[in-house]
Amino acid sequence: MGRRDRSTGGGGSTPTGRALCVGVEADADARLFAALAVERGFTQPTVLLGGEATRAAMRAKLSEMAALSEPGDLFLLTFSGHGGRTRLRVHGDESREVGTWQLYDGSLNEEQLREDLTLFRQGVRVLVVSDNCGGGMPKRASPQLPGGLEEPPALSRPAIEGFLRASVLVLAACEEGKYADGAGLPGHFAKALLRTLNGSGFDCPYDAFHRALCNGMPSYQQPDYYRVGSLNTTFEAQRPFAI
Amino acid sequence: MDLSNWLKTPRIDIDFRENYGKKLLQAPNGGQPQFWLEPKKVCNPYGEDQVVQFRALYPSGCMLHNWAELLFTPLGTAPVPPLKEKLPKWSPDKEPEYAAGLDPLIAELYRDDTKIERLEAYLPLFLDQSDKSQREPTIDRVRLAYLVDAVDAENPNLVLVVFSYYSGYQVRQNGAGSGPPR
Repeated sequence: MGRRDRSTGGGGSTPTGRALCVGVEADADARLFAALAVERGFTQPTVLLGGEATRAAMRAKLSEMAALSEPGDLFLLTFSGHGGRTRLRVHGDESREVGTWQLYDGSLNEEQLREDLTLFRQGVRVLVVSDNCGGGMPKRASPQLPGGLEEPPALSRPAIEGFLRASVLVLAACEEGKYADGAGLPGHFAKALLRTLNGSGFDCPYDAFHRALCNGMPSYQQPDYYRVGSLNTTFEAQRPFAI
Repeated sequence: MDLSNWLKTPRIDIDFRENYGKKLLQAPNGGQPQFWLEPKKVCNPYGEDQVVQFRALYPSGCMLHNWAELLFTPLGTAPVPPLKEKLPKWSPDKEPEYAAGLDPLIAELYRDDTKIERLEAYLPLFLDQSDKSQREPTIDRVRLAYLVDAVDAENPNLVLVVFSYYSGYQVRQNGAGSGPPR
């Protein structure tokens, strides 16, 4: 499958799909998502597995992908591995709990991921597949500002200055605070996602795909789906993983 | 592996917990989780009693019941690396500092192939994820690392407890906790 008309993503020329697939103790699932990206016409995905999946490597790749992505392009980020939560110091003595992905050399927290996603331009579509316990990363959007822009996170770090301008859709293996099954179990998310894509979820928009995905998952582990960043109804109406 | 620090540690109290550690480091009596390490000795060929492992013991209600007589084995060849900065004296509002300061060592102790000197045991548990997980045990690997002079407090030492999936019913969650050796 080749490139498609960029108008499907809101731009004027042919959009490009790029993918970064990360796996820590879940290499097979990261490879499944990379293979899906290839099948859907993305350019050769970058795959970071095990010892390659360090925080620095992942953040460098995100920065590189942001620089390459133009309005209308689609960027797919998948993480397969352990999820968790940690407390971050924010303004003054305040702290709050945020989600994490456990990378090879430590955890990448939700605010660091959000910071990296702010590098993507307005008009870029970002799809995050968060295949871990604890729910999706980044978390649901804070209240929206006029124009569909998301309010910046209330952190004091100067690096977090920008708005999340890209349209970011998150598909998560489970809801916040819940567990996600590993391989071979009914809630094995990567397998369920592919099964749904190859079945009734193939030709429908994201919200319908999510409903079909939920139907294919056990009642104790329901996938989550939500938007953060700029509103892009065209993106949300597209078929999942369609460039 | 030098066991002297463990041998002079009659008790470990758990303060900081994150992720799965919040579930596994619990005192059913509602108090502070705590346990002892009792040396297990084996007579070597020279006729000397030698410490080879440690049994976890605790008063009723101070740890979950699956910790009973958990057997920790000394493993590893690389000394525990010092933290970049000393941690502040523990209080609940210092949780972000503990999470950030311990994160690299926790990540190292999650790895299958870590060389860090530690005590290691295998903890059986039943998860509340599904009907299946309530019958099929999950075995978690528990690793204890002893950090000398890691805390800016009267007792500067710290024991780090790290959980990671080993076998059985699998969920994608690891965890950790820490507390002072008394």
